[in-house]
Order: sequence, then structure tokens, then C-alpha cells
Amino acid sequence: MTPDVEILRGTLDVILLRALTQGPLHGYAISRWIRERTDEQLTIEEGALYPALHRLARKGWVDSTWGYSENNRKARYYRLTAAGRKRLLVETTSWEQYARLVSRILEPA
Amino acid sequence: MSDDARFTPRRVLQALRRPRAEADDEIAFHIEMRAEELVARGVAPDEALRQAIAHFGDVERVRNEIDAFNTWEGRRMSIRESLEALRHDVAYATRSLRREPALAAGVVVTFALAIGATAAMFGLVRQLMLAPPPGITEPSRVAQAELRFVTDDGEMYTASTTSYPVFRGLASQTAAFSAVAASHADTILFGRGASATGVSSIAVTGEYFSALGARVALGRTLGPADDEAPDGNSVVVLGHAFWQRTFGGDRGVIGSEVVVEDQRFTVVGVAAQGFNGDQRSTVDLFLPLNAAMRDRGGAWRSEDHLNVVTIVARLRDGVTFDAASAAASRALRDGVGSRELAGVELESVVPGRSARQSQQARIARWLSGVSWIVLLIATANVATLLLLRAVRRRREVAVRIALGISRARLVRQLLTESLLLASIGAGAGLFVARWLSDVIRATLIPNLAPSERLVEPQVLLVSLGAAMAAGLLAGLAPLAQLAKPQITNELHAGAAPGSRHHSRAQRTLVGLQVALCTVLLVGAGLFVRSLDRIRSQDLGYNVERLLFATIDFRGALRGSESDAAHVEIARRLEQVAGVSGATVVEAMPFGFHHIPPISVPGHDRPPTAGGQLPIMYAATPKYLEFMDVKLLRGRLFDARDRRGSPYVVLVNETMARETWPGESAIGKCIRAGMDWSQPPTPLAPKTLPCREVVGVVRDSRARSLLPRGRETSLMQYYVPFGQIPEHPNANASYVNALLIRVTGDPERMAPLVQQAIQGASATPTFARVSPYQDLLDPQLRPWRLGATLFSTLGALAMAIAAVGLFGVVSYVVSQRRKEIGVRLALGGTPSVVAGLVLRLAVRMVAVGVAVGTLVALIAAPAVQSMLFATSAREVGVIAGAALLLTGVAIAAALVPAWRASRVSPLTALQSD
Repeated sequence: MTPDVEILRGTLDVILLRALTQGPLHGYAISRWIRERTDEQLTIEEGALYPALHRLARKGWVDSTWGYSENNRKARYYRLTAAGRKRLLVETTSWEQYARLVSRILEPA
Repeated sequence: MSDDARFTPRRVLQALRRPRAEADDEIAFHIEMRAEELVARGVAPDEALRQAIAHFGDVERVRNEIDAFNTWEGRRMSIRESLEALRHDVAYATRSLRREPALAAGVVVTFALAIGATAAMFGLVRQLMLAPPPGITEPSRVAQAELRFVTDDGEMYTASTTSYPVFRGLASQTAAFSAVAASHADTILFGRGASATGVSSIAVTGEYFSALGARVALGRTLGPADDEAPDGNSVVVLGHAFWQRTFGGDRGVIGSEVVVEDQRFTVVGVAAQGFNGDQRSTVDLFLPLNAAMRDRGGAWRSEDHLNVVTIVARLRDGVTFDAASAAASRALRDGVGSRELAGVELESVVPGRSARQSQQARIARWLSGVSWIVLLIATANVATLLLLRAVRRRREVAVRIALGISRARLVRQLLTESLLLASIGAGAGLFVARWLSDVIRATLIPNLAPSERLVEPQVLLVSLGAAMAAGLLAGLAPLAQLAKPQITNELHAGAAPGSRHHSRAQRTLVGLQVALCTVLLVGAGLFVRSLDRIRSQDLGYNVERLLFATIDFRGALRGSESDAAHVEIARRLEQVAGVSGATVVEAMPFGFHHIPPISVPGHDRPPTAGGQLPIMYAATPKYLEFMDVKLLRGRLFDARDRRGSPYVVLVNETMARETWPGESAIGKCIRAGMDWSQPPTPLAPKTLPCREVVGVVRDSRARSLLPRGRETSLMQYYVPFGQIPEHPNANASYVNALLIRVTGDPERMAPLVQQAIQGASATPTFARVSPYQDLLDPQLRPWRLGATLFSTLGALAMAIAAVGLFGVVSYVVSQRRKEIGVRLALGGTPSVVAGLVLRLAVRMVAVGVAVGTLVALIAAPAVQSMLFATSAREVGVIAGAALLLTGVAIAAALVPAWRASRVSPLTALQSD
């Protein structure tokens, strides 16, 4: 088995915002996208996506509508708002900076 | 989290019963899509579904989250769902409180005491100040007449007792009043022989019941036909409580005969429950005025100087109180009324509308304010306790938040808990309130009729409101902390909870409680000090061991026979064990007054001080001894000074100084009384014999415990009992009462003396015996009320604050176990550690005391007028309150300090 990496809180928000840059997606599609992007090495309780999405919606970064899926099933679609896009930019920049700093520290001298 | 696991099956069942289509849609969609994906990869369908659910995690929790989101999105929950949610919250709160019974009990008791105190005070204030006497229809149209007088020297005073002719005068004003009635309140004898008891009665004119719009519970009211002169009908309406008490609520009482003042009366009705006429004290019997006054002759009906009745009137619709007062004043000026009568004021029976405000009402209002402060303290205390609890549950709550429980849900849960506690507290508080107001009524406001209902609806409303507000406030305090985003830090393993800022919030709450307590204790101290000073002031005599008895021979003995019987009874009383002396009296301080005309040779006006004529006391040598009359110059009376011997008199210092300035009063002459062959004048005529001043005695207090106004310069003089200014009627009576000195407790001796008086006489004799102190008591009552209630509430508040302090200190100690362990490991002694904890407690209290003192100093002018010889900023009182609170703080911190000093360094360092 591949090592499980527990997702860091706060990171989940960036990941969700990033996922939605592709366009409106339902929760299941987002979870599938995350699994594919990380080769299934990043494990999250899939249910936890929903509270996270709702939190983003309350902050105004995401909004949602009911629609129908590819196989004609009723599903809630989440979409990035303008504020969400801005937020993603900020988060991505600071995240990259943070990651760079941390990896610099961890690099063998 | 453990609860979530524990209650999952139940929650799932609840979930299944709830129609939550959208949440289920979203979850079902996800799980089915996931299962399909797994099936596509070759997993068996059953196994795929199981895995899909496992991947999804806690279905129920997400379902709740989605629900909350849907609500947030503006989709309204159905009422049924809200109720379901409420039920769920209450059940959850109950479960979680049951796990901490000590805390729940503490909170409930705190609430019960505080809400009980608040409700009791509010109930009393309502009864004293806001509500009209019960049982009056349309009370806003009903008024009591208050007569205003202006004396010759410009002093104004009011009186509500007036004469029957004044009542007739007002009754003629039919344009202003639809009904006018008069009443005469008295304690009268009910029953016969040894079982006769004194009951409170009001004798009323025919319009009384209709003027008040009063109803009966049984039978009929009294009407005009019952009160026809001269004798009226021998009928009586029983008070409801009296009927319950004496007749066991027997409905067959109507038509039966009872004995009132030795005469047969027929019971025609029972008044409605709670009805006490226009009074606030309990009324046992309602009688026709003419029937009650039967054996007093007819003079009371025609003489306008015989003040026997009080007047109530119902205003016609559209007539204002001012217009009615003006009409009444005009009527009285044109018709009857004394020279000094300046007008009539009609005061609404609804106290809030009346301009009058008694000292009692003022203090009651203060007390209700104070009880709200106690409630505030209790709220702060409950908030402190809930906060401590919240901090203990911080980890749990942080996890819940991280796992997606919505803030709204968390808020609801915490509020449900504190409201649940507050409601239980309010329920218990109502019993506390009932008990407390009974105690107050019994001990402090005895003339206030008890409410016949368990709880007044308004009181119920107010206490529920107070409970809800307190519950909300107390619940919100921990929320303010929990809702902070930093909470997620709690998730980091090993993070020490109880960082600086939570203890700051707790300290603020404790500080607030202590500050409010300080204010209360200062108030209590000021009232206690005032009461103490008013009681210990030198009245000129000491009434501690004195009894006061009035004797009624039921008309069998009159005039000099009655006087002789009094003397005989006094003589015989001296043989009774526990009685050290007894004497007859005519007038005495705080009792009967006698102010006869007086003159001094060489002065064309009577001697007066502050416009007040000198007060005369007829004194036996024993009276002088009992009343501790202190001789300054000359001599007191002795056996020589009798009827027929040379006339002598003692004057007090003020009279000696003011009447003969710069001269010795001894040997001077005064004349007192009336020459009945001449018209009465305030100046005693020269035809009367000269009374020689043989002694000067110290001033004493006569009418008021407050040394204000006329009371500070009062002329008093004493004549031998046998030399009282004579009445033209040879058979006149001069003895009004007996003064009895006892060796034991007067309260206990009073019934023994009463039996001794009643038992010894051949003629039917009824005696009323009470401690002399009772004559002074009505004036002491407001102060005693203030002192007792402020002290009680102050002690209550202090106990509540001590609980809060104990909780916070214990918490801080438990949080700092590690630090304490380190100190002890590094060689700190237990006493150093204990001192550390005690200092912490004292520091918390010090800030509160400082703030409270400041508030007390600022509020001082508002209470000053209610204090006696005490500054509202008295240093001793403030210092006392501060010391007391510091002491309480130390006491509250002792146990935690002791525990801290016994921390084992080893276990402390190993924990966590």
C-alpha cells in the first residue's frame, strides 16, 4: 500500500478551490479528481468534502446550484465565484512560498 | 466524540424518520457514484457499496452538516423538524449535564436562589407600589381622599382620617363622583368569653362595596339599607381568608349568627378572595358603619372635629383626578372643615399613579433593584461555571468543529444547555420566591395582606423572563470563546488548554461578581449601621423591658370606676411572677398624646417650640422611674404630690430654656388645661391655678425616631397623675393604659400579663398587651426591612460569588499542575505553593473590590436620603465590605490551595 498522507486542514480549502477552476462540479466529481491527481495517495474521508464546501460557500468563495449529472441524476453543483478565484490566487502563492521554505529547511545541507 | 459513537444507532433511527430529501440525495448520489466506480474496477456490488460508505465516513454527521447548509441557504425547516431538532437538543443537553451532576446542581441552585430572590422582591414591590388593592373593579377610577392642612405657623401636613361631616360634604359632589364611601378600620372582638379574639374589621357606609365595585364569593355585599342611622343592620360580611380560617370555608355560614363586640350579627356574605377593601392589610370583617358605632353615641355623625373615617370615591367617567380634587376642595371650604384645611387631594388607589411614596415603597424599590443585581451576579457566576465546563470540553468541541459540526448547531446546543438549567432554576426559584416573600411578610411587613395565590402571574412572567435572559447571557459567554477560530489549535496534540485569554474572561466575570457584591455589602452595611444607630439612639428612656396594656371593660365600668379598676389591676399585676412594676398612664411617648392649652404668666402667647405646643404627661412616680425621666435640677414627684396637694410640674430642658431664657425655671408658674365655663382657647386662662415648677428634666423623644423638624426641640412637661387638668364631668376617666415593667422577655411576658388581667376581673375584661417596642416598631420597620433584606441578599450574592471564585481557582490550579509540580520538584515548599494560589485569589478579588468601591462611592448620593446618621461613603462600612470579601476569597481558595500544595511532583510531570 502507498503511504497514507493525512490531509492538512486549511490545505483542503485550496485543493477544493483549485478543483473548481475546471468549472462547476458536484462533490463526487471533486473527490474523484483529487484521487486521480494524487494517485490515490491522499486519503480523505470523502464525506468531509461537504462540510468544507459549505464552509467555502458561506465565505462566498463558492456557490451552488442543483442540476443533473451525466447519468441524469439530481446532484448539487459547486462553482467558483470571483472572490473564490482571488482567494485561490492568494492561497496558492502563500502555499507555494511555504512549501518552498519548508523543503529548503528539510533539504540535506 | 465518544458520545457520537455511543448514540449513533439512535441518531440513525431518527435520521431515517426525518424527511431530509436533499441531504439524502446529495449523499446517496455520492455513494452510488463511488460504488459504481468500484464495480467498474471489478469489485463485487455488495462489497463496492460497503467500501463506498466506508470511504464516505460518518454519514450522519455529513447529513447534519448538509441539513444545516440547506437551512442556511434559506430553505426553511418545517415546524415539525424544528421541534424535532429542539427535542434532540434538549435530550443531548440533558445527557451531557447528567454527566456533571455537581455542576448542574450548582447552576440550578444559583439560579433558583437568585431568581427566587428577584421574583420575591418584584412581587413585594408590585404589591406595595404598582398594583391596586385586589378586588377593586376599574381601580384607575377609584381614589382615596387625602386632606391637606396648613397650620398657623405655615407647616403643611396631610391626613387621610377625617370626620363623617367631611364625608357627607364629599358625597354631595355627585357631578364628580359616582359613589363616595367612608370606612373606619378597627380591631374588634369576635366571639364570646375566653375564646374571644381581636380581629381586624372595617366598618363601612352603604356605598362602600359599590364604590369599589367589589364582589362577594358568597351571599351579598353590604348596601345603603344596611347602614341607616341610628343603629344600622346587625349584618356582617366575612373576609375570604377569615372565612377559610375560622369557618373552614363552610358555605352554610350564610345566615348564621356570630358575636361581634358582644352583639349578635348575621353573616350575609363572604367577600371575594383577596378583597381587603381599599387597604393593604388583611380585613376579617366588614360591618355597616352605623352598626359598628352603635354604642358611641351620635356625635361622630355631626361633629366635624371627630376624625373617625377615611374616604374612598369613584370618579365619574371623564372627570380627572385634578378636577375631582378641585370640586372636593371647594365643597369642603364652603361647608364644613377646619380653619387649617387647605384642600383635598384625591389619590388613586393604584400606587404608581399616586404622588405619595412611602419610605417603605422607596426601600422596596431599592431592594428590587438590588435583587436584580443578585440575579446579575448569579448570571455571571453561571457563566463562569459554564465557561469552566466549556474549557474542559474544549478538545471535544474543537474536534466537533473540525469535523464539520456547524457553528449554528454548536451555538444551539450550548444555549439549550444553559436555558435548560435556567428553566429548572426558575421552577425551583418560584418556590424560593414564595417562601421568601412569606418570610418577609411575616417578619418585616406584617401589615401587608399575604397574596392568596401561590404565584402572581406577573411575577411568574418576570421570573421566567429573567431566567431566559440569564440563561442566554450565561450561555453566550462560553460561546464567545468557543466560536473563536483559534480553537482549532486545540487539535494540536499536547497544546496546553487554558491559555491566558480564557482565564482572563473568567477573571473578568469573577471580578464583576465581586464588584457587584461589594456594592451590595456596602449597601447592607450602610443600612445595618443606620438601623443600629436609629435603635441605639438615646430616646431619653429605654423601652426594652416595658409592656403596654389597654383594657376594655366592655362598657361595664366607666369613668372613675374604670380608673379605679386600672389602678387595682396595676396593683395586682405587681404580684405576678416576672412583673417588677406596673402603673397607670394617660399619655406616653409614641402612644397617646395630650396637649392641653397652656399659658405662662407674663407671656400673652402660649409657649411653643417650632410652632408646637408643649406635650403633657401625667406621671406617677413609677412612670417617671419606668420612663427613666432624668432630673437635672430640683426634685421629681413623690407620694406628696396628689390630688388636693399644691400643684407642681416638671418641665424639660427645652421648655425651661425657651420659656425663661437666662433664668432658673424652678419656682416659676405655668397654667394648663381649660376653664370649662369659658370658650376653649389655646391659651390656658388665668382663672386656673398656678402650677409651680419643682424640677427640670432631660428632653426625651416623643413621636418620631428621626430627630428632625419639630422633634429636635420639643417642649414637654409632667404633672402628677392626681393633678391632671380636670374635666368638667365629675365622672371622667383619665387612665388610658397601663405600663408594666417585666424582668423577662416582653414578647413572652405579654400573653401571661394578658391572662393575668383578663382572669382576675369579675367584670368582662379584654386586654391588649404588647411590648412597648411595638409602638416604635412601625417607624423602625423601613430600616429593619432595608437592613435585613440588604444583608440577606448581600450574603446570598457573596455565597454565589464564593462558589464562582472557588470554581475558577480550582480550575487554575488544575491547569497549572505541571508548573506546580515543577516548583515542588525544584524545592518549593507546599506553603509557598499554597501562598501562590491564595495570592491569585486575592488579586482577583482586589480588582473587583476596587471597582465595586468606586461604584458605591459614585452611587452614594442616591441612597443618602434613606440613611440615618450615616454617611453613604462611610469608610468603616466600605473597609468592612472589602475585608469581608477578601476573607471570603481566601476561604474559597483554601481548598484549592491545599490541593495545590499536595500535588505530587511525579504524577504532575507525568500527566499529559
